[in-house]
Amino acid sequence: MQIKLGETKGVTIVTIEGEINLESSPQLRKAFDDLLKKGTQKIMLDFQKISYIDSSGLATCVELFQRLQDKSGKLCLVQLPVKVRNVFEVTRLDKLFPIYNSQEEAFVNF
Amino acid sequence: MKSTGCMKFHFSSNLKRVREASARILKQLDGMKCTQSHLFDIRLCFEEAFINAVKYGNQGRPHQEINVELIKHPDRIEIAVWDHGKGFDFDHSVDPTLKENLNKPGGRGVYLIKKLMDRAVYEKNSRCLRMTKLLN
Repeated sequence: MQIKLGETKGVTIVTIEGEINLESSPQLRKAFDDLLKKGTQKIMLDFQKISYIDSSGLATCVELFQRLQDKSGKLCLVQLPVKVRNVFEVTRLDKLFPIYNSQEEAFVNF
Repeated sequence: MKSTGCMKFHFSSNLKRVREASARILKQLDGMKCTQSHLFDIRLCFEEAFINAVKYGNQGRPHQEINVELIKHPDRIEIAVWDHGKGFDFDHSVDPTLKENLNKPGGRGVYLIKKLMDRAVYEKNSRCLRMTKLLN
């Protein structure tokens, strides 16, 4: 899994490539820890290049959501491939996280 | 409908082996009429079942194997996963989609299996989770 960080309009964009699974979740959690320690409050996760996510990946996203909420921060997900989006929909996590089709759409609603 | 093949696999109880285990299972599906969507769901559900068997069934005891049976039918795939644990109440597992559970990090593995497979049955006496994916 590769993680790239960027910032646009005051929002930290985390672009993740590869699989978010039991093996890679600790790496993602560490990246989120580092962002939260720096005081980051607005995070957009770009999943365009995510090919697979399992329940541990979902758990890592929910943990980030909770921690941001505690700091009055915001989280959204963008550009989910169909099967990855289906995992969020089946588990109804699309009701917890705002999910947008594009970064542009997300910025309008951030 | 007649099955076209039954294979048995034995894996050590090691979470680092989950990807290797699912790759071995998926490789056996080459040549079947599985779409990418089928393969995604089968991999995800098998890995969730394998992880649960290692963590909660065999409780990380590496000497206890995870036994897997794959049965290929022309119209469906059946996968059974056995562990050596005490078993669990599959039918009454927590619903992570309830409002009070939605923001809890864990508890989605079994739910995904129930939703993404066409049939999932847990045989408590033999500690076996049987999952079926239709290929229609």
